Amino acid sequence: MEGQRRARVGESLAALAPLDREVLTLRFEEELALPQLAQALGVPVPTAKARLYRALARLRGRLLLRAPAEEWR
Amino acid sequence: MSGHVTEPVALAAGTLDPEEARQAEAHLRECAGCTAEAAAWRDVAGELGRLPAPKPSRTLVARTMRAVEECLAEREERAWNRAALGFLVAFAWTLAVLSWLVVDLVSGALALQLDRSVGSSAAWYAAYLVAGWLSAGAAAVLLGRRTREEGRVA
Repeated sequence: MEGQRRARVGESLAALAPLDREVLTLRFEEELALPQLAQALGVPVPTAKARLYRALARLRGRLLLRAPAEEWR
Repeated sequence: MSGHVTEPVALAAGTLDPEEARQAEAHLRECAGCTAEAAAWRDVAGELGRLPAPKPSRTLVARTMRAVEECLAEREERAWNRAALGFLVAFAWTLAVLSWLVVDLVSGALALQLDRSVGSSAAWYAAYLVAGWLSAGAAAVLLGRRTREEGRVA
């Protein structure tokens, strides 16, 4: 169950647009703080923040499409 | 604070400063809808953080390292070329100024030997400078063309 969930997150992440995948990877795998994240992306902090939220929302949207709704609420 | 919209996702993204996070947590205690939302976002973000980092293949690493090294070497060479060019320009100007003395001397000696005027030494010097600049310009054009051709081949 846990493994399935993780696999679906991995697949959904891979299916995202490169810009979305980039910001999510930098934040959650490289664990960059917001200022470093913005610097890595070469954009101002508010832009980085907006991109991060948008990417998370797209990822969640994909997960909801693929998985039973109760799994991701 | 426009609580209901961005707080849950911002909490999961970990982008709030401590004061904002404190206010958001306080809001969550009062708002069941936002609490559920925050939990859902945290699930997604938590799974993201636990994803195994993909390992690049050895060939990809080797190829990338080689490309980086080539790029660095090229940059170093370009810097060296710029320094050499600067030195050459400075050297050429020094020579041009020093050669004034030589031209003055030679044109004076010629005038004495031929026992007639061969023009002022300033005119000779001007002709010498123009010839120098023209040949330098031609050399620069030829070099530029060769570099462009090399770039096209590479």
